[in-house]
Amino acid sequence: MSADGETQLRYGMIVDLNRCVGCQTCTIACKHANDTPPGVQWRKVLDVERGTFPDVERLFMVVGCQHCAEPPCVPVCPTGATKQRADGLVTMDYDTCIGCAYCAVACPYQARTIVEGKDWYYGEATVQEEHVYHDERIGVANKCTFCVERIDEAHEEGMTPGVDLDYSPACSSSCIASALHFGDFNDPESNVSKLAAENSFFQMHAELGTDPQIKYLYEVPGTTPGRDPEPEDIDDESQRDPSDPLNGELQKFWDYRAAMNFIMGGMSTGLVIMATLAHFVSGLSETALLYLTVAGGAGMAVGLSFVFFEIGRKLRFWRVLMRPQSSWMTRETYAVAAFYPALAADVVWPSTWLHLVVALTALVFLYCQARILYAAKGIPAWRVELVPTMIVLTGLLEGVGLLGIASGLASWRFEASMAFISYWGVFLALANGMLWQRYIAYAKPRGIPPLARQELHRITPTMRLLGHLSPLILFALATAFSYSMLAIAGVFAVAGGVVWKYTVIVRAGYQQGFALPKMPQRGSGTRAAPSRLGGLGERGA
Amino acid sequence: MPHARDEIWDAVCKAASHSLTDGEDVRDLDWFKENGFMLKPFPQLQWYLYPALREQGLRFEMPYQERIKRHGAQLANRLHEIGVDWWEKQLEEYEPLPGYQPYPDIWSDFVRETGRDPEDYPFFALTARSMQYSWGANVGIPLINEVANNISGHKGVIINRTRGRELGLQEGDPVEIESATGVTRGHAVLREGIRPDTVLMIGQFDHWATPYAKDLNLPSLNSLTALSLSLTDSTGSSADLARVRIRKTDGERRKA
Repeated sequence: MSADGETQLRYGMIVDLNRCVGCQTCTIACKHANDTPPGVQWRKVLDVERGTFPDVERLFMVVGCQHCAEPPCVPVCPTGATKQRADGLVTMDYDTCIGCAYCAVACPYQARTIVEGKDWYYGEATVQEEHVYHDERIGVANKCTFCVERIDEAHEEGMTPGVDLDYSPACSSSCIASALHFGDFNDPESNVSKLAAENSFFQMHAELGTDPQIKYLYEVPGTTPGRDPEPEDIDDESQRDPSDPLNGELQKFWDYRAAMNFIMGGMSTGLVIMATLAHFVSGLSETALLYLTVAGGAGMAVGLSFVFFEIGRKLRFWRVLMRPQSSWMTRETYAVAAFYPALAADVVWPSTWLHLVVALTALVFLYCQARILYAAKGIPAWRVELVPTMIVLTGLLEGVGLLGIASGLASWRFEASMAFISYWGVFLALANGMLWQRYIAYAKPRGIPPLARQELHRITPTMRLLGHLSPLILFALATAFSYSMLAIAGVFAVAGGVVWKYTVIVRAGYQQGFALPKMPQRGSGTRAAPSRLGGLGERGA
Repeated sequence: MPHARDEIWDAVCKAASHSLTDGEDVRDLDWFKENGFMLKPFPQLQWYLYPALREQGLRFEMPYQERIKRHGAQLANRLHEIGVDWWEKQLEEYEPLPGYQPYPDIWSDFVRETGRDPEDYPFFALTARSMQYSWGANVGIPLINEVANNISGHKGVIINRTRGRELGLQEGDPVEIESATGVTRGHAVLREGIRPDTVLMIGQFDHWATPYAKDLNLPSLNSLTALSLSLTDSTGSSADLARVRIRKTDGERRKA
């Protein structure tokens, strides 16, 4: 509710692509107002060029946090540090954030940064920099807040954000070209509402369901309508261009340490689940089951410790438990919290029920991991709807593979181990192979950028041979030959899982780029705006 | 396709008549060819100095055209009186209505003056102001450098993308830009919005002492232009231009 308690506010911005001249005054104003350190720009203006000489168009695109009505960063946050206020502002609580970077990979607008250490513009701190430094922002997520302090002050002092410039975001107040406007979209009389009502606009990546609250105007009223992008504006070559600021870069938020959690977590939970299944349906002894589940628990712990080393504020890790209502990362932690006590109890007092609880919590953990990756909407290679199934079935295949490796050692064999591992191995290798094929085939239509696809295609032959075909054949033939073959098949199955998870997370994790679904008409040649007077050249009539 | 000459004049005619009549009587080039000019009533009182000139019986003078010709003649007399004869070419520029000159030849001829072949210097190098660096005094401020880098060209020399690729250049490649009298080094910035025969270096970044700026390793047109009478106009100035050639050099590629 607003300060007067009568109307619901919805703050947002209008960006006029035809008015922005790329001066970066908003960028500087933001840096001054928010004391952001070197390299961190909550507000940024991109220099965009489209076309081929002499038909070229240049425009400047203001980007930053879009304060989405449906922000993908909020539900994923495991601590509640990222919140959406009633007035629409998406804010950060630096004292709560643990720096897990989940919000950063969930944002399709590259709006978030994490600063790991202190950095100074001149190498060492100036008096000014020391004076305005924010220790609380180290190791946690940072982003544009629409200058929330100014907005709150406006309400205290009876001012109107967007109208009174001292009580509006620094970027819009400083704009030299009236290209940036801030205000309340729920007030039909506000400047932003009128601009949105009187002009055509687009919302970036609206197809992702985020309902971003920055609306981009792209036409000059009365004279120059907008245009659709040309095919070459959005083709693969354009998306590969390292100098094109619209293209997303490889994310660095989740590195090999995050990948290790998915790799170790998948293998370990897969082992626990499949060993439990083998115990109940194929005669794996209780002792063997307990050894294997303990080994699985140890593997999970290794993976989780890698994550622990990745987060920016380690001593606050317990805050990860604060958002079970929406965050799969929190739910994963609850699964861990249930798994280890159940495992300990099972070791001390083995029972059928405890075996089931251990397997069930492992399955929940595996499913949470699958959903964690899928909810990272900022990374096109991760948000594909097949990814959760791939994570789960790969985990199970790795589990069967590890059972196969274990059964290579005679002491681990069980009555029906050969048939169990072989049948499940064949089924899961086949299922994973089909999933990968589908994932690759749908990569382009699902919006995975070409540089990410290149990484996926690079490992595809390896995946087919090593991860799918080899285990499929070896698992199928193992019943006729030996346990050694089962073990080799297991090694291949595990290796395949490691290869694709590492690749998808670390090497193909390109961020969602920026988009111009509609463009202004400006520039030269065929890109030029249509004539106002008519009868001029080929575009004039 | 660029507009043909008549299309441009047609637009000028339409725009001018539109402006003169508030859009009520828009005339095209053919109309102006036939009628010569378009008139609309304008109160005499608003004519510039006209009432005062009439009242005082003053001669009507074309303020710029007559004076520039007179000043040129006076300057020529004074220079010749003291034996200065090396400003003759510049004196020719004191014209009431300057005629067209084949301007590109000025820089090609200068290359020949130095004993070289202009064909060996196939590009024209230009410079441009940087909005972020303003007059250049804040080039030593890292914060400004950070945001200026959001605008293409602040990290090197802008080259037409197709032409750059023909030269084997990729984005960020280290390059050497050489004119007949100087050389500068930087990194290639490939863009479409520049002519294939032109390269652009934003700002003049020849800083050898300015803290921070001296370490930016940016190319500068200052290193390429020459102090030569052949390139000096009647104001004693010169356009920031040079014919140059470019080659890829060893070194690290700069990130886009």
